[in-house]
Amino acid sequence: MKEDNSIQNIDIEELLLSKDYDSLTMEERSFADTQVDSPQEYSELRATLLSIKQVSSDEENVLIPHRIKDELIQKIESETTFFGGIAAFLFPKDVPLFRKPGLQFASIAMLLLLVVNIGISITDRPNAELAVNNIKQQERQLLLIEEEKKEEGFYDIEINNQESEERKEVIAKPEVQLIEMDDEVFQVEVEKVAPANSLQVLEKESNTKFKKEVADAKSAGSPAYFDTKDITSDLEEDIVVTKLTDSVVVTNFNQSVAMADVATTRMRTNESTTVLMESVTLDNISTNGLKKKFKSASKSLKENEELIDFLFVAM
Amino acid sequence: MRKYTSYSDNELMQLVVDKDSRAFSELYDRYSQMLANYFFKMLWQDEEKAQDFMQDLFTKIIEKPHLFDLKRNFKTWMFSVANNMCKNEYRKQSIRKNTSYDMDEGYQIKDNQASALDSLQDSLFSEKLTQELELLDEKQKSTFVMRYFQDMSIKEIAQALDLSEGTVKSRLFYTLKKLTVSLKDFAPQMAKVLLLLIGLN
Repeated sequence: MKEDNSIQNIDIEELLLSKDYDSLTMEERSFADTQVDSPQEYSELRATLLSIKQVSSDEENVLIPHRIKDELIQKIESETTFFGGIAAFLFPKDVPLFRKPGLQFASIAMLLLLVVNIGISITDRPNAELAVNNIKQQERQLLLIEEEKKEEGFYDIEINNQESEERKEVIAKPEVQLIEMDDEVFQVEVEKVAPANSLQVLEKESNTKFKKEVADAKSAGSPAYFDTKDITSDLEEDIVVTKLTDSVVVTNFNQSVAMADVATTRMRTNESTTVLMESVTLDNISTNGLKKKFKSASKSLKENEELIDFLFVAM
Repeated sequence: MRKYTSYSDNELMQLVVDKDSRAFSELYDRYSQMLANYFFKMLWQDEEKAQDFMQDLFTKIIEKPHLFDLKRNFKTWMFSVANNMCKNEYRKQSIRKNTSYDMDEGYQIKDNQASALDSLQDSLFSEKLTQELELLDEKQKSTFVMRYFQDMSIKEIAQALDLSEGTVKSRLFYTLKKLTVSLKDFAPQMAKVLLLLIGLN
């Protein structure tokens, strides 16, 4: 059906309900005439409309069983979730903002937090300062290791930047060990090396010959003893016993004793070896013929070079 | 604490979103009768069907309250949902083909009842009006029922049916014209009008 929108300005329904045709003003009548064919049609429309209005007002309501409401209420209550219930309790809709329990709890919690923080900062200021620590975890671990080592007598930390920042060596502070054999006491300096890698120490000392010997010994798979008289000047009087594997390497013990005859024995080994060194030394230095040589500890290694060479050849 | 009766429809609907059963109860009390009557008028005067549809609509409100746009008017939104439900039902029942059969069957009893009240013109008009409404186009019928049986304003109907107010007005007027043709012999007011016309002449 074609729908005419020209009646938007004046509501024909209002005219029909309120006035009969004769009561219309000139303007209203001219408008009504555009909508109806005759005054009679206007009157019929008005009669129908009034009747409809009357009928609709007298219309009986449809009966609604109460069970429908009960079922619907039961349904909505069953859909109320646990968290929804909590949220409804904490933030009820029908109370002012400041009276919502959720906001009250939050305010109390923030207040407590503030008070506790202030209390801590007042009573425990040094600790608070210590708590600011920007050192990285790795560095912190290294510092802890260093502190532990220092407590055990270590004195130095060297970081090999060429190999890796993480590789570090701790060279032990020389310790003096007193070895008692056959009523005589010998002084032996033992230098501890960190468990990192003894080869690194050797590289630092730039002794290619020694490195080669170590490498050869490693490739041969045999434990070895190395004469360090040619390594560096400050080590020329030392005997270096290195550990290439987990087993202690002092196989050439005769030579070491001979060297110890002229110099204070200085040993470079790792921490775990140190204990073993002592036991090995004590176990093996039992040759009676070497007693006197240990006594003359004031002689330098150079002075006994011939003897060392001889012993080495003899081996 | 405010009583739920003082809340607006939209405020109540906000609470229904949070599964507030008391808010829902208030909304139900406000609109259940109106909707049942609407469905009754729209769905072939079938009271049971009207109850079922009304219950379905409120069930939808419980299950999917978020579908309601809080910026909209709740009443018009609800009637637009109701109208869509009726449209779907018309499609299901192939209303165009079956209306006359259903209506005739449905009104057989009422005609018998009407015969007992034959003298009451109002009742006759009411019965005839109901029959004529069933013959109307679905769009005209929904507009007409909303306007004259639900007392909805032109604006509310326009919102519910997503039409302009002018279209609603013109649709109502032409529906009225159509009904007048078929109801003029039954209208109680018609006697007065005729008398008036006779008097004028």
